[in-house]
Order: sequence, then C-alpha cells, then structure tokens
Amino acid sequence: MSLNNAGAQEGSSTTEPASPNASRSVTRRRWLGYLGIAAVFVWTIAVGAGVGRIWKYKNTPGAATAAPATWPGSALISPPGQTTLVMFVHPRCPCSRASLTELSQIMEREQGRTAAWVMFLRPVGTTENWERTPTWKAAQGLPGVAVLTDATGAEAARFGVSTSGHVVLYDAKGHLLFSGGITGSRGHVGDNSGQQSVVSLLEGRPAEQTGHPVYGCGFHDQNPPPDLESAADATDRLHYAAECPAPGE
Amino acid sequence: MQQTDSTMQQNVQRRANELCAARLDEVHRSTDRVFLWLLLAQWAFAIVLALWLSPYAWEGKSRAIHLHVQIAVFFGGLINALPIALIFLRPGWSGTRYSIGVVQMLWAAVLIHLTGGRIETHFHVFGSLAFLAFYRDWRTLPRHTIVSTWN
Repeated sequence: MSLNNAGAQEGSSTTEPASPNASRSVTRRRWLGYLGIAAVFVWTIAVGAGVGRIWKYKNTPGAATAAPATWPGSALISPPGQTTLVMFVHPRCPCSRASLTELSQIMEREQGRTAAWVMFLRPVGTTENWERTPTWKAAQGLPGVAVLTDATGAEAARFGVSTSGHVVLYDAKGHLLFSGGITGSRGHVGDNSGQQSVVSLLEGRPAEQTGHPVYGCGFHDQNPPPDLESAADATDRLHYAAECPAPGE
Repeated sequence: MQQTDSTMQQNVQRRANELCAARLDEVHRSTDRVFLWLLLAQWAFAIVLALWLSPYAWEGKSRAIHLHVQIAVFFGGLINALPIALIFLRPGWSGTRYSIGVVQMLWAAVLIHLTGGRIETHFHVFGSLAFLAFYRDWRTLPRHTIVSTWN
C-alpha cells in the first residue's frame, strides 16, 4: 500500500460517503421498524375489539319477559300458602350454574322461610331424561329445594319465562314480588342487586328492585312456544322428581 | 502512577458493568423462553376449559358452539401472537417482556371469564407477578398492574 493510498484511505474513514449496501440496510431497518409499530397498533385494536365483544356478551341479558302479577291458577305447583320461589333452568345452559350457586346462597340463609322449586325444561322432541344433566344433579343438592321437570315448556310459558335462570317470587297470597335473574352477568357468581332484592323480600324488607335482567340460554328455538290451552289439557306435562321431598314436608 | 490506578479502576468498573449487562441479558432471554411455554400452556388450558365447562350455547333444543370456545381458540391465539413473535424476533428486549406482562393480565381476565368469576382463578394474577419477577426488571410490574386494575 502506497503512502498516497494510505493517506487517501485514512481520509476516507471520515469523509467517504456510506456504501449503497449500508444505506439500503438502514432503509430496510427503518421500514421494518415502521412495520413493527403498525403491527403492534393493529394488534392492540384487535385485542380491544375482542375485549369489547366479550364485555358485550357478558352483559347482554336474555329476552325480557313479564311474569303474571298473580299466581297462575293452572300451575301444577300447589298454590302458595307461603312465600314461593320458582327458578326456571335450561338443563344444558352453562350460565345457569352461576344462577344455581346464587340460589344455593339464598337458600342457606332463607331455608324454611320459603318453598323453593327449580323447574328444568325438557323441550318437546327430546328424549326421556334429556334434562338429567350435572346441572340437574347440582340442583338436587340445594338445601330446601324441590326439582321438577317441565316436560313441554308449558310451565315456563304460564309464568312468562323464556330465559334460563329466571326466578319468580310470590307471597303467601299469590302476589308477584320479584321476577328476574339473580346473577350480575352471564355465568358470573358474585354480589348483585337481583340476588340482594330476593333476600330482602324473603326477610320481609323492601327490595331495591322487583326485577333484574336474566342472563342465560333461551328456552325457545325455531319452534314457537307451546299453546297454554293445549298444554293444560296434556296429561304428561309435569313429572315430579321423587328424589327430593316437597318443601315443608 | 495515580493515573494508572484510576484507569485500572475505570477498566474494572467497565468490565463489571459489561458482565452484569451480559448476565442480565441472559436472564431476560431465558425468562422469555419460560414465558413462551407458559403462554402456550395457558392457551391450551383455556381451550380445554371452554370445551369442558361451556361447549355449547342452547336455545331450546338447538345448540351452537359457545362463544367461550371461540374466545379460547381465537382470542387466546390473538393475544399470544404479539409476545410470541417478539420472543422469537427480539429475545431479551425490554419491549418483549413488557408485552408479556400485559398479555399475562389479559390471560387472567380470559380465564376468570371462562370460569365464571371463580375466586380461585383470580390468583392467576398473583402467580403471574411471581413469574414476571424472574425478569428482575421493576418496569415490568407497573404495566401489569395497570392492565390488572383496568380488568
């Protein structure tokens, strides 16, 4: 290496412009950086949308329906001579496990003060014992609760119920005290105004509210609900689960 | 002589810092690998949980795949995508462990939701804190705490 070249090379370490490869590399890295930032932004938006979807699902109740203001005369549960609570449950609804847990907490406090029934829907066209699921077994284990099968959905229709987990509470004279759900959101156990209202009413205190959204599966699919007249004439419309004694016996 | 001692001290300090940084980088990378398996295990667990607890939603006698299964499969995959990509592309980087901290809290929210708000599932939050402490980086915790509070 000549002295001239060496000098030129020494000078080139401070003044020679970057090679085309180096500048391409810098540009590529810059664009990769922008792409990374864009990817994180898109990911954040997508996650936010997912969280919003979960939140919406959790807090969307079933169809709002109204229970009769007085005890439906044709019901096959004995007319109430004491405060009576009836919960309607779809046997395969995952959200209703939480409703039964809340009912269990109510009955631990109020057992003896109220007659309590859990009515399991067996839709028309399903097999015998279709409703005998783990949820059914869980209901059988609740203190002071009798478990029944609503074999055609007629009982649910009488009480104006169309969503699993719906609770109706009537006083000894057959007047409606409460109609609604006892969970705060879908499938979630925890303090909520529906459950607190039921407890207040059972203890003879005024309730915060007399209704609450019901979070659960629907009782009706594509088929329309059963007609009340024909259901009342049906001979096989209600089966009593002999394993559980009636409340008060 | 004094200049030599001072220079030697500076060299020792510089070398100590280099060794510490290298060791810390090693800790960050190995913890990233631990979280890679943990994130995948949580995803698999969520899918199994959803299929076991709530496979179908019902309307009368009609059924459809429950939203919980879709959340476990698709949303679980989505929230894992960013941290797993960073673990492979930028192991040991601070952004990787911060994203892992945030995603751990999202997983806590998903698992709490899938189990219907069970108290036991809430302890996932505290377990995650213990794992995040492996990074020995205090800046991981505030992000984790903010997302947890928002949840």
